[in-house]
Amino acid sequence: MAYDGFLRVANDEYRQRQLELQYGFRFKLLDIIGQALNRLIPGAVLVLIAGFTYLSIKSLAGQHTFADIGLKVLADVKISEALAYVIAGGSVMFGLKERKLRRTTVERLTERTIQLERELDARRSSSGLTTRGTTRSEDQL
Amino acid sequence: MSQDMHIAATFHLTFALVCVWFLVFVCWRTYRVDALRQRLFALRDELFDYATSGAISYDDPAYWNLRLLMNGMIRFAHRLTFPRLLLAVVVNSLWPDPCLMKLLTDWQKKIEALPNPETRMKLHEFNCRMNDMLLRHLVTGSPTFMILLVCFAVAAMVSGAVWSFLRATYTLSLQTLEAEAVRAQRHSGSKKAYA
Repeated sequence: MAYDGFLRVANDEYRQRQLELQYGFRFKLLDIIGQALNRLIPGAVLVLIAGFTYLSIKSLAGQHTFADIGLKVLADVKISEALAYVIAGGSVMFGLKERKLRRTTVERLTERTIQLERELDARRSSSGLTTRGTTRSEDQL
Repeated sequence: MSQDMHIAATFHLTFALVCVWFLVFVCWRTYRVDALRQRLFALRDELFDYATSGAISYDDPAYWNLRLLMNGMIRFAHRLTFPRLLLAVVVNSLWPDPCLMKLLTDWQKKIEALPNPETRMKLHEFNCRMNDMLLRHLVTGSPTFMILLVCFAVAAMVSGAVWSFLRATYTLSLQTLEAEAVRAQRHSGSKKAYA
């Protein structure tokens, strides 16, 4: 009798574990598909740009060398255009530098906050991000 | 346009498009995730301060689970995208996952078990604010989602307006019919009385 009860409980636990694993697998699969979709969109846009460029210059194949084309592109750059490129590039560089600085500041300041919060709550849970506040490499998939 | 000018224009356009691509898919995307994380961190700090004020214990399961939920959202904020949400909704409606809903109902039960109604309200408010942040992030991050939402809102408004017009017309006609019937009844009754 007791053995039957034990068997039933063990069977129930086994089935529950099996279900959990099944749903866990499905969740992971969903995650992989979602991430793939997330990367597919920028990739597709890049392929589209490359395709348009290729089709645009295909007709000129054999008529010009790369050096020739490079010179023509450089010669065509106007001062106003060059200035726009410099401003845009400089702004991006500025943004990236600021981001790096913010991450360094986050790293410097959060350690103190964590220490103080741990004094109040010993079981304090963490978000699991890196010390710089970025996504962990294993979470990036 | 001469051939030389055509080449130069093509390369300038390609370069500009690649720059836009970098700005949108590399810089802007990471910025949005960082901004969402920042807002969630601020909310989590607020929740911690609320617990520090003595309103709720750090070990209370309701507080603990809400903090855990916020931590999860902060950690996986980079995966919160419209295609991912759409996929999850479709899969979950086709093959419902009981474990998924169990987590939510468990947390609801822990909230309901709190003795103080004010604390209960406050924790609900924290949860709502978090959901609001996530929804805003999802909506503003996807042009497709925004277009769909506008279409849905317009359709809902139009169908709502049409529906309320039909209901009002129906009610009015019904009331008129009833009134007519009452009047007719009165008239026939009075005629009977006179008779």
